[in-house]
Amino acid sequence: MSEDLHKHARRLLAAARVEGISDAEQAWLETHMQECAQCGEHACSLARTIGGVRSLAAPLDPALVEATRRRVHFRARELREQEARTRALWLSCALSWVLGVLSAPLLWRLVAWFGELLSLSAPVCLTVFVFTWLTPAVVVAALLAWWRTQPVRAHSYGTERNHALATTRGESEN
Amino acid sequence: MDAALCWFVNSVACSMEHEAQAIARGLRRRDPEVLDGLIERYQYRLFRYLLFLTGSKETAEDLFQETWLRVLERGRQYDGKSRFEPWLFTIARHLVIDLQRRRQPRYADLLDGREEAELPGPEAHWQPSALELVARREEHEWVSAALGRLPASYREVLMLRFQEDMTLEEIAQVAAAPLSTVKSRLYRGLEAMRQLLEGGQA
Repeated sequence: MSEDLHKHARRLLAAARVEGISDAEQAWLETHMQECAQCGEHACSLARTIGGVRSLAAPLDPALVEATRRRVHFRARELREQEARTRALWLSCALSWVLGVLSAPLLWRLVAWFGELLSLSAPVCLTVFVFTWLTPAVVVAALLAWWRTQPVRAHSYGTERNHALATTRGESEN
Repeated sequence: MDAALCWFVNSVACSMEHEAQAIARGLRRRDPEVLDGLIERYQYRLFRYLLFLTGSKETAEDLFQETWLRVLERGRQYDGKSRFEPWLFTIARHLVIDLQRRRQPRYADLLDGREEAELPGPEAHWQPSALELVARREEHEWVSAALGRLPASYREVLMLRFQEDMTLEEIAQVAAAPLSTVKSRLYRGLEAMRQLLEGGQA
């Protein structure tokens, strides 16, 4: 039997495990295997190898799983609260914009009336109007932005997380 | 008979699709119960993948936690159109690569196959040390030690193919490599592993 046939058979043996082979190739391989003890031994060796890989297990510490669950729950809560803050921020911005647009004519009249009363020039009136109109929105936006960056219950999250990790490590070391 | 088989295959595929959609919905809502269920279901497989990929229990434990946090944070990116496992293992793999980059910037992508040249060849049979011979008494440790001698890119595809029973396309997705590369790594990794085991036992 030529060496090429053995090579072909071994290639097919690996291919059958890796990506599958056609029925015709399978039939040829079976015929070859009946006649060739060497390739039969190769097939057994391949099967032992794959069986070995399949049998590998990794003991997992239940404390690690529990610690992971706790961290995931904390983070989920943190993300939900962050989302709620973001929603509040956008809602406030939208509301502020709508109210600003609606109140602009009234505010302008008010500033103009004060300007007439105090005999202020047009540029001064305009400056007062712009400042009065923009200041509340800027202050609210700055406050909301600052509020959004604040960590959510940072202390309790960090403490519990560290405790969970320490517990996991401690138990696995013992 | 064929019709019955077809119906069975279709119903299994349908159920898997529904399951993937349910997971995607749960992840979009960041539902802790869905995440608990996923951790419960995939804990052993994920940890095993990380352990054999990194070769370090402590690193695998850290990355195990980080993977689930990443699943929570990026859950909205999972569309439920494909199986959850490849997506999960892709996240874990990225974390392994990130960690490698932080720890060994010079050897950034151990998983990208750059170490193929280091693959033990047929002429370089592994001679087990005295310590390894003791470990050999336990078949599991023996195989585990042999697997640990393979480059990470080969270990990875072997684990995904023969432990996770992933399709070649799914492995290609996880490993971010062309199908031909995945096949090549599988053939070469399998043969190297066979030679390591047979050579060591000879």
